[in-house]
Amino acid sequence: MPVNEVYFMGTCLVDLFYPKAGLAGMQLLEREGIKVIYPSKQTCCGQPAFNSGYRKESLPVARSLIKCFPKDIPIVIPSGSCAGMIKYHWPELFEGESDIETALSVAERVYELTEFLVDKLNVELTDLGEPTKIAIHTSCASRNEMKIADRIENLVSQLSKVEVLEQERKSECCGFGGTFAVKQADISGAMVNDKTDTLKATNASSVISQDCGCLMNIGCALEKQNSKLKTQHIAEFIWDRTHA
Amino acid sequence: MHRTETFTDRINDALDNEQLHSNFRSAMNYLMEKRRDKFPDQEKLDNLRNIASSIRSNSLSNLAELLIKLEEKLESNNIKVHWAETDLEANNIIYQILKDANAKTIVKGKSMVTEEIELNEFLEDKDIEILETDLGEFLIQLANEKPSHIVMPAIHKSRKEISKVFAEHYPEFPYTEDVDLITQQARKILRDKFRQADAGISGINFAVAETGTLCLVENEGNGRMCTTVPPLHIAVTGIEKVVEKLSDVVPLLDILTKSATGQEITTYFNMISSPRREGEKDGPKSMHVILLDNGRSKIHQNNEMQETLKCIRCGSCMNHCPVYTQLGGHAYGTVYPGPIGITLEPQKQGITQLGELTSACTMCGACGEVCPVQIPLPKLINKLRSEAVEGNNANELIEGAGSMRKLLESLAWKNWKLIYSNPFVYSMFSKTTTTLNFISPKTIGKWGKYRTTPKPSKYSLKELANQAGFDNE
Amino acid sequence: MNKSREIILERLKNNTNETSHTKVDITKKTYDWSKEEIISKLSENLQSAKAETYLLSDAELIDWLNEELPKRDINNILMGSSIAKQISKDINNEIEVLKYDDPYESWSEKLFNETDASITTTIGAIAQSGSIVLHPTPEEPRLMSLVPDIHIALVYEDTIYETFEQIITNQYWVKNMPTNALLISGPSKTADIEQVLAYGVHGPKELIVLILTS
Repeated sequence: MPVNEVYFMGTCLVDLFYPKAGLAGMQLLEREGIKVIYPSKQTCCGQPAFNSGYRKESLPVARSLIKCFPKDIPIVIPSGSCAGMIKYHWPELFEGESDIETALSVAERVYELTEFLVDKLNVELTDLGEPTKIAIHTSCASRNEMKIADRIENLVSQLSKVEVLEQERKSECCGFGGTFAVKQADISGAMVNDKTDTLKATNASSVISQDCGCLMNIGCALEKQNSKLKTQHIAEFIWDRTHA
Repeated sequence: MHRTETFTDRINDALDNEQLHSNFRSAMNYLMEKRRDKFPDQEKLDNLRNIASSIRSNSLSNLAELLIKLEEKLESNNIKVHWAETDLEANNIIYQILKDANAKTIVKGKSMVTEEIELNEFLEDKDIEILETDLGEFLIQLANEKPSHIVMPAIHKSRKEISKVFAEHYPEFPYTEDVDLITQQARKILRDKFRQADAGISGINFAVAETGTLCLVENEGNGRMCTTVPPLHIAVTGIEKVVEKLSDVVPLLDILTKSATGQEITTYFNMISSPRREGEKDGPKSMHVILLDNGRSKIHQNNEMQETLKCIRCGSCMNHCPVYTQLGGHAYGTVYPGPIGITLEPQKQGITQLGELTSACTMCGACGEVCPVQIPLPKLINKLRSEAVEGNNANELIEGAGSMRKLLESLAWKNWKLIYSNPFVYSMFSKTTTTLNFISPKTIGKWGKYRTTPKPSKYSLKELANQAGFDNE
Repeated sequence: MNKSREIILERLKNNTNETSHTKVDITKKTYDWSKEEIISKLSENLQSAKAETYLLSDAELIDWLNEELPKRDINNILMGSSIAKQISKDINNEIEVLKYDDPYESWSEKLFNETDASITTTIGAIAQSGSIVLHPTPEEPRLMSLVPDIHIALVYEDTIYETFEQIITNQYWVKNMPTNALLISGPSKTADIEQVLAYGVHGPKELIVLILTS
């Protein structure tokens, strides 16, 4: 069945820190002829508390989100990590709860943005931007949990003026891990420094990822190091290069 | 392991040690690459993981029955079986066996379970000489250290450091940093020890219930020496290592060696089913097996956490763990480090003692992807985090459940819940955040030591979506 | 009965919550390699683990020994009486034939310190992993393949199996489990120091596999 309508879940991080990435994601979908609904009551998938062990606090937050997606249409999320939370951890979070069926029906309809663009819409991109060199950082959730990390590469490969430079240990975690970055700040700091070292060594001018958690971690570390290397979400990167 | 420093101190020591970091970084790169080369086809790998996982699950589902069968078979093969509920009990049993045999010098093959019960310390206190014979373990014992990796125990040491320790203990040999020469020197020293030892002690990789066979996986031959040369062999194993059938060891061996060191197979796969029989000219004259519980049966009772016991100790989870790579094994302060360590140790020693280990994980999932028996390590670590702060201590399956709940932290999450579970409150909050940029370095702790503070955007996505005219039903 | 035994088993049995796991059908793998392929897989895999392999006919064995042993400074060689019976007459008389006729204890020092090499039979080999398979016997005890610096193993070409599973099944191991069964896949080795491979750490420094054609 052809898709013509989707919900867009912005995620709390995008809502507050990277709204342009979210908007670009919605515009990319709209350009493919999809009606995009942005439920205004959405907040967060519950992951921050869930990963910290606070499931009792996570559950009501996740529950409030269920109500935002009543129609049986796909839910597109510009984050592998939030999509993974809903798809793979909600079943555990809602286990034994009266609304587990509804939660599962939401989980089944969840797609990460690049996954949806490639697998469901077969998007074709025409690069209108200036030649540039980038490095791609795939998020761990996209790679290990959602197993869709290669979709971002598929999209970027369609951009004729973008050269992708590969950093060493590409698939190693950047050290964000939500509250890990605060609770084990020194380990996290050592990890992000290792990550930025490999990224800077590529001589790329920007780092592109499908997850804003990684981008915030890597971006703020690069800024602290006074590096010229910029970070950008894949949706914004593509939108900027492909719309007239 | 008894360590006085805190986990944080050990973490800081590890992070400050550049030599350590570079030793681990290059070792982990090497091991990951070797493993990757052995599994070029993801589908075949997944198939093998399914098989291995199913064999281990089957063992755990029928654990009591299989242990009884194993015991029966071993006894009929003339191998004496002992059951030990605790580490102390295991040590005492071993000591008694050695005493009865008047054994004073012991050679030991590499075995994590004997590290777990601190057998060396126990026997040394009783004036029994116990010598590690795996080259890495031997060098670590010389340096008076503990293994930092469950497969490659001396991985934290550089060749220079090893040469120095070796020269200190064996000044009769010329100083060398040549690995071949050090190896040959160790050979010379240890061969005499094997020949003169009164007893050999080993671990077990798999114990086959069907045939009463103890399987040992190794490259060096010291395991074969320890289990064949001395007149007495004592094998120590966790109760979970039993498998039902002889044919079960085929896929397990295959995936173990490939996952651990990226080897097609190790040099030796040693399957022992009996001490020396009438007419045979070598092999131990008597054999004992210690079946050690030490917390395992308790983990077994917890259906959610039971999968911890599927582990075949390949070390692949630590090889792929970015946190382990930063810290090395010693920082954990436990016998088993890395992802399996932070899953297993808090369950064995209690959350009150070791619950903090679970914080050393970014939930990146790399460990779960490579685990040859598909232990969902990130899921189990997450579950332990929840037990630590939300668990009920009356629920005795995991000792210390709920003990890590801290007032301030739980209040913070309660506040978070109040904001994020109520769209109206959230929109007020996000408005304040985006307009006032109120996140300060103080609220995010040490984040700012390595990074700038993230700046909330002027407009939220909700506002931008509205402005752009998207439907918001 | 032992108290700990009861406590442990009680706890394990108490878990009545049957954990469900899907039984995976372990399909027996066969490659259907030809005899030539099997031999070449075995040789390649053994060689990549630094073992030497030679393909000889039964009749060529003695010539091989007489030519190769002196080259390797082998002055004596340990063997079981069946092999000794076959070759001791024709073997170069500079090479002393040693036999494992007495229990280990009575000659341990000589075995460890004065035995240059050993030659053993095998009960077969595994092509896929490059392993030779030994079931030591009173005639060829366990330490023959471990203590001497050089281990020469004879593998008859028609006993080479594709997989470990095949040899276990086809030779009915479950019913006839020997006191000790061994898979040997190269000379003794270690990578414990900076992941540098070093050979001959405790066991043989060299493994030579002679694949005998009939």
